[in-house]
Amino acid sequence: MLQFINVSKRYPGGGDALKNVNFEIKQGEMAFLTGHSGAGKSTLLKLIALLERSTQGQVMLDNQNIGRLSKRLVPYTRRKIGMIFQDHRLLHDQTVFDNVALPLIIAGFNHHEIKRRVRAALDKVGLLGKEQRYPITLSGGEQQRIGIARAVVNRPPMILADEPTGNLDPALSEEIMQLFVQFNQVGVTVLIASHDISLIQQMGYRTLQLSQGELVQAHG
Amino acid sequence: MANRRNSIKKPLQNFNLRSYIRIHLHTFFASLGRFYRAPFNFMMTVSVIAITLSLPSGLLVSITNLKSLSDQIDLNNNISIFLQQSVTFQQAVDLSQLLENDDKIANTTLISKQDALQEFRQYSGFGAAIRVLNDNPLPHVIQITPIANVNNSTQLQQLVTQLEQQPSIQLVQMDMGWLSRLQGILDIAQRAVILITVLLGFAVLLIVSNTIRLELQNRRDEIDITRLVGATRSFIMRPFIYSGFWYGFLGGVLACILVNLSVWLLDGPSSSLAQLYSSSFTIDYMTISHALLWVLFSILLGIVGSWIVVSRYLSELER
Repeated sequence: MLQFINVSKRYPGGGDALKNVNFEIKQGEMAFLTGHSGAGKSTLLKLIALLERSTQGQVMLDNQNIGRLSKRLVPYTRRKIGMIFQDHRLLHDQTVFDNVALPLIIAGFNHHEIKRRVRAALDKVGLLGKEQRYPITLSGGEQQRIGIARAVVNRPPMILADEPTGNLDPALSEEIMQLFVQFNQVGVTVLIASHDISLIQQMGYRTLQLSQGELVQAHG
Repeated sequence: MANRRNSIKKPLQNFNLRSYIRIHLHTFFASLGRFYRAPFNFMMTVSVIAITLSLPSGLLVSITNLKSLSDQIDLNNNISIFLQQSVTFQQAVDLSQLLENDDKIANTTLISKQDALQEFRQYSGFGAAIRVLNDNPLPHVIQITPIANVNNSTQLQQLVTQLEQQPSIQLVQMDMGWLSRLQGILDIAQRAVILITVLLGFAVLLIVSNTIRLELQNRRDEIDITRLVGATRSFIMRPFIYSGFWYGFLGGVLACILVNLSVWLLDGPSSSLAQLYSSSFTIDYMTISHALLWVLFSILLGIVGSWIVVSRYLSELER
């Protein structure tokens, strides 16, 4: 599903954010990406989401070198990845419903289908009944759930999460992680960047550890 | 390798007219909704565009009206001959007869001192002042119309010089001199309007661009987020292009309303003025086809203005 082959990323004027990274995540797998701040976790995720391009090596998604993709096709690749962020990145002037519906509107689904899928996604994350609320009126954990609902609403084969529990207390963090486990159980490939080592160890999934841009060990 | 081909859905492969129209309708109403939420800012921009465009369109209406006014005036090249004060009526009649026989002159009309005074009293508004006068200060006047093929200015000038040599004639005046001068001025003014239109059109372009640029900055996060969830370039551009359309459309319509309102305000005074000159002249409103052209022009400026800014902004993001 996802494969990094000798990937390096150097920012102009900065050091190497990633050095010769190699790993593969198979379809239906769930894995964690850990490391200190500045170890290159965000850069790695940005390469997958095509927010950055690698300086060297190949990033393969579905056997396709997405580093070589033309600009025109970038949006269509992003639609295959559900992305979740630490700061949720929600539209605060729009309702929960409209936030979750955004990927479907972009893809041109009809109104009926949008309604059905948004309700299904909100049901999965336990926010059914709060469609017409504005994100700001909900708690941090609930806002993160909106972000997750938006990421899964168009049923992407892969979910990427960047510190999804960064601002949450341990109990809420575990609930969020359980959501990812549920998605993984129905066949979605999941990659989560997190520095919550104890939670990760407790869950027992494969872990990729980055240190100063290099992949130092891969558990599991 | 075969898999590589199919793995990313190409835009044209899953192009669907219905979903395309749906997205357009969605953005169409969404852009209107945004204006509804910030009506003051919106109306300010629309008003600036309208006022900017009403200047060239108003000038054009004025020139069109002046042109039609000057067209209403009989375009025969009449020449008025003012005789010396000492010339008697009989001498004037004789001269008139003589000129009638000239082969360059088609016909002559004699206006006697008395008739001229009568007419002057009636139309000038100085009736009371004239009654005070003991003598009639006006001379006899002979109006002549040259034959049709004496129509260019050199031939007319020759005729005028020939007439001026007669001792009983004080002044020879070509009535149409001022008219052709007016028409010359109007031609220049029309050119000037084209220049002003280009210049102010550019100003409208900048107004729209600047407004859209501010809107882009306000909605930076929204743009980032929609990009992250897979929005294409055109999906992101669309709402801003629609904003540009609305600015242009409403600005153009308001400009036409402003111009016609001005015409309406001037219509009353101008027709009573025209009555003083016993003319049936009335100011024409902007024609529908002109109004349509101005609105289309304005829409075009709105769309182009926003397109330039948004595509530049997105190109910087995608770099």
